[in-house]
Amino acid sequence: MRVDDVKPGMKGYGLTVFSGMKPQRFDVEVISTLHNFRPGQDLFLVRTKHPRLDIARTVAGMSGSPIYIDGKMIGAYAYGWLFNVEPIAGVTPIQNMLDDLRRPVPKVLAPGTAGSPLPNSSRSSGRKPRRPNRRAGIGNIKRFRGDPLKYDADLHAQQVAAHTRPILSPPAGSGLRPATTDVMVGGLGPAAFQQVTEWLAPTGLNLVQAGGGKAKKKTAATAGTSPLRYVDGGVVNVQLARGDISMNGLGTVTHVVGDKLIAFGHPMFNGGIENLPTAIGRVHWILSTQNRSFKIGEPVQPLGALVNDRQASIVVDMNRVAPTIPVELNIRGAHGAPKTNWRFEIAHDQFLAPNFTSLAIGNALKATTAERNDMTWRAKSTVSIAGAGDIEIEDFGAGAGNPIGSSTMARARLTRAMGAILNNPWKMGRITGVRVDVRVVHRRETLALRGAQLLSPEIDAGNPARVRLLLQPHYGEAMTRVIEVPVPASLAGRRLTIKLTPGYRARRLLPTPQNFDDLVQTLPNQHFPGETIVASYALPDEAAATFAGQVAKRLPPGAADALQTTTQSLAPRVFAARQKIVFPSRGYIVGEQSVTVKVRNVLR
Amino acid sequence: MKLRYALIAILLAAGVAQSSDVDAVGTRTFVLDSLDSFKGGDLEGVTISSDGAVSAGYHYGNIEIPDATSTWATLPTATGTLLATGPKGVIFRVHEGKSEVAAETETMAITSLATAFGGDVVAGGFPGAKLFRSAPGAMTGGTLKPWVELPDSEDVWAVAYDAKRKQIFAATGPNGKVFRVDGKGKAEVYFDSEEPHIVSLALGEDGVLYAGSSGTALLYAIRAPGRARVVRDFDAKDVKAIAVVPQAQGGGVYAVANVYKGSLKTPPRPSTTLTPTVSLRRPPTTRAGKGRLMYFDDAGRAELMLKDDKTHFVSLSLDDKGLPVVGTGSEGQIFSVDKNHVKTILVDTDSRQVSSVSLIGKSPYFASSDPVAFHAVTGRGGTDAVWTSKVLDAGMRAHFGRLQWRSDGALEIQTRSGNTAKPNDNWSPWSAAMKTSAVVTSPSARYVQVRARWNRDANAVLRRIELAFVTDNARALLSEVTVGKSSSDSKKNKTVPASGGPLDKPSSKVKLNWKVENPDKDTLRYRLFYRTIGSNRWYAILPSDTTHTTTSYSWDTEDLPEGRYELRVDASDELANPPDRAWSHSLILQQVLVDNTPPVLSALSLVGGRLKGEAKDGLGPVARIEVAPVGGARFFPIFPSDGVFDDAVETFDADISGVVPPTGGGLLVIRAYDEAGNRTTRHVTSKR
Repeated sequence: MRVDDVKPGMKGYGLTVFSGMKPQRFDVEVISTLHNFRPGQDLFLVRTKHPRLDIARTVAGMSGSPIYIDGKMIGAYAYGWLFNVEPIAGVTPIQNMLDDLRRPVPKVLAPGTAGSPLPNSSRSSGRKPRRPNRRAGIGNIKRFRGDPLKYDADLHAQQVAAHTRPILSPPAGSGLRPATTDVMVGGLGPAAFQQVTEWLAPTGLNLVQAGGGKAKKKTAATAGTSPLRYVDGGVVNVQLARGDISMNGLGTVTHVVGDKLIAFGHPMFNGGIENLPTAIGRVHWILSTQNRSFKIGEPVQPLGALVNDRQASIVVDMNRVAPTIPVELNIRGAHGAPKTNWRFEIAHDQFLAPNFTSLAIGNALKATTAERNDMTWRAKSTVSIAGAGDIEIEDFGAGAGNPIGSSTMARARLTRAMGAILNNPWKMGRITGVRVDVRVVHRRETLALRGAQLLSPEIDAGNPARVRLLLQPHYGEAMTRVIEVPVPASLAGRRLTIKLTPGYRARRLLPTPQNFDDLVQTLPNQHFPGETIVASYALPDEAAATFAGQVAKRLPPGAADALQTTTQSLAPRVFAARQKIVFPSRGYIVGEQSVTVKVRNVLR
Repeated sequence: MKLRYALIAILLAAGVAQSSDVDAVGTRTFVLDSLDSFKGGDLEGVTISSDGAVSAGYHYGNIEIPDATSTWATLPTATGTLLATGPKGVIFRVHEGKSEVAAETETMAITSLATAFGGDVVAGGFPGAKLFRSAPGAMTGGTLKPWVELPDSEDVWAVAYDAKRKQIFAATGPNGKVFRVDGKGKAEVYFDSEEPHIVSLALGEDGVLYAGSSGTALLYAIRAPGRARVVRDFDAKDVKAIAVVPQAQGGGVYAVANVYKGSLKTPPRPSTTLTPTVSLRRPPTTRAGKGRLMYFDDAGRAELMLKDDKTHFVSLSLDDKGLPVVGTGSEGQIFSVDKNHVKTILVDTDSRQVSSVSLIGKSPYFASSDPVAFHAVTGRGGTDAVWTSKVLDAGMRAHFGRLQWRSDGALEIQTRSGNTAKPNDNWSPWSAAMKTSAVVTSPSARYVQVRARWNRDANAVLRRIELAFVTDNARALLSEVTVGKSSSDSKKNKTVPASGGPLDKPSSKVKLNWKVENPDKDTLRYRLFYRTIGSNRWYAILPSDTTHTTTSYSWDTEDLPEGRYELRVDASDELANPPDRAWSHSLILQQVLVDNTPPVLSALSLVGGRLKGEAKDGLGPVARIEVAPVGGARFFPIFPSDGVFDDAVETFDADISGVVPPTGGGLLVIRAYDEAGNRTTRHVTSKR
């Protein structure tokens, strides 16, 4: 039915799931039409009539429920008002939703196509479709804007929110409920729930602590027990994570057209082309509150993928399978813990994947290892990247009383590495799996570097500088250790200041990555091993340089002079050279020290 | 006689102008006759020697290689000349006026090339201390695989092939080793120094391998494995290049040693933001250094051939006569030096560095860095040679006279002029060529340039240019006249010293200082006059036959009567201009007082601790009154009755009971000063 044909006073019905999986009818009466509610989009105001809705009034999760007048679909239940005292809802016209359905979607939604700008459909715009952007995925709204090697999960969430908030938020003072999508969260503890709320609430998702369901791929065992297809008015879940930890955006199917469907009546992220897994779901109950009521439910059967996320609807293609990242977490050392193996899948998304992975791992670690005593943990993560092999990332921590959590993992090197793989100038890498092995010991294995002493303040050229380190364990007697720092004979006559730094704080000299493969190689090698101490000193008159994947660590001044250029900006970086020597340490060093040694000329 | 003065002067200026159609100062001359005076302009196709001779120089082509930023070595081969470059370790080939990629390597730079083992090309680079080997014809753009990887090293800086023993030497860093590699790729340490880097190699006809280090800049002569002698310990950072002179040309060794300037920063974090890796807005961290070229004869005697504190040297080769040719590291020039130490600028390129130069044989060339270009020398001398002077500044608008030059052979000279420091469209066009000395036809202007063309005699040598000019005569203006020991002293003397402070000893010598703005900088004559206030007649301070040209004068006022005077300073440029064209300017300083009489103390009494009396001066105000017990260590100031020292007569009535003994009978010293520092002293006895 066309917008102009919908008149005040017209009566009809809607379909939605109040409980279980089967849609039920509720009556509606058209109040009026708001013209140009959104750019190029009107909104019908309707009054709903149903015993449950008389109590719940406006219900999140009903978004997408089809509304019929005279047996014809006029649109989808999509908006409500906060603290509504009447069951009044806003309905997105079906025409706008069908326009979204007709918009072209690339045949192959490989990682990297999400968010690519695409032209309007020829039918809606009247123009011949243009070719999809070949650089799809580069520059979309979910990509982290910043240096991938400095990926920051919190900053990424702020960037995404900054883009989506103006689109999803209602006009100020209107009282209109934002077009947020309720996300049913399962398996998260309070701290992780708080973390994910901080990240996702500003992006238009409303977090609801709920169950995660048992949605699995269809097997012979489940065949016949679950619906095979979506139905108008049925439940659709967008699965951001599933498994031992789950996050599902819950809404209602508006209309199924062949192998596709439109739902929600409003955007989820408004991210355009997407590739997120979806599932048929069920509703447990409608929880009524004075503020805003909502459906609580869970997925039942994975099916299809969200392929388009637009102003008026989301579009799901039932023939597609969205990529996910399987994550396995094994925890050793948490004696007596009932669950030490965690498995879950994360949507393969530039923003969601690194954040949810860190969230889920942090949540699992906290649940498994929560302890108020001292603890040291070491995590070795293997990230499998399609076409680039596996890389191993080391994370660790030591402290007292629940040191691990989602906020800790958000700053972990694993999270940063995943962020870089998915957000870089070259391509969105395809992460095929993440395996994290965590070893926990209930003591704090740190060594405070309390002091450093030169055993001989002057050394002959060519001899090493012997430095005695005073190391204080977290508990126990202080200990000493002597390291021999080799010093080249060419530094005769110089005074060297030897700086002693924990390995995890000392950066390796690395070239600027020039391509995706360089980036992957760089990610696990940015720092020295955690349980080391690095002695370093400046090499006077010598230089170092990096360029195009190459590192020159010690250059004479003449070579540094030749490498530098005044006419090209794409040239080697030339800087002062430092010698770095690594010494293993049994524990993580805390603190830095430095000593100065004089190198004597040997005249004999 | 003593002087006191009030500097509340009103400076009155009186200009005395003499009109003239053409205002002029003395004739001056631009003279160009040395290396420094001839260089600085455009040296396209000319050479300049340190004895001030400009000749037609090299003509050369220009093949730009934009995919590289630095050239490290060149090697002529049968298939073209190879250029070893950075920063991508690419070897380019230049052949028949075009460049192409001959080979790529997985290095940052190929630093060295040599023909070895029957015609193969051996190349070394960094990082990785790898040697690459290939037949020149097989270098068709592909990636070379390492032939030898030298142990315990990270860089190869130089290679030298020993054809007699069929072995190649490789100089490496950062452990300062020289390797010997045979044709099968077997490498062994030939020399292990204590320096971090060996950066240059050259092999003598007698098999002696010369090696230069970076670190303390040592030049080694290596006669056998492990047997090295230090030929020279330079006061420098490296021995950048070495060239061995064939015995047929006299033998010996040339070596270049450099000092580098600039400091380097700490390493940045790797970044993938795809921004430029270096910022050209910042000055390069390496600036022009200092270069030295030394010669060592076969007996080991050293001779400094070339010293340049404005640039370092980055390349060295020998010309057909066995004389050294060096490429510079900051201005992109090529120098040659003869046995008499006459330095000649052979080439001046637009690049920062000349990294390789070979001016011998049938195909001379040189290669530059930053930006990288290959220049094939196409000839020497001829009509394309043009020397253009730097911009000559007359200081203000000048009228140009005759231009004369001295040359061996015929030249054509042109001039142009303008009023901006950099030539632009507002300058006049180049004048018609002068074939002999002639009056310059370029219009009057502040700036002028001269250029010479070798289109009449390719072998001509320009030795001296003189260009006469006369600038406009601008009037000198006096801006300030001050009295005191100096200009700053006069300001200090504007306030009376604090009570109790020291006062200057009175002197009849008055230091006069004045400031003058003299735009054309011609010589000025000054005349000084004085007169009493109210008089119309000026009296000269200087004798009429005295020509005073400095801006200060010590005026002895001893013979002057006391009173108020005005001073006048006249400035005239009559010494540099004819009388009818001279300008003058005057400045008057008012209210200069000459005072030679101290104040008089009278009516003194000291009763009950109160001191009363009167101080009276002839011309000026009484400046200070102070008292002290006889034999006391210090004087105590007292104020006049009205509280202010502002009159020539001041009475005082002060309670000084804290100074005098309460029992009375003490003797007190009273002193009074006027503003000129004249002083009088009286005594008074205290009474109860």
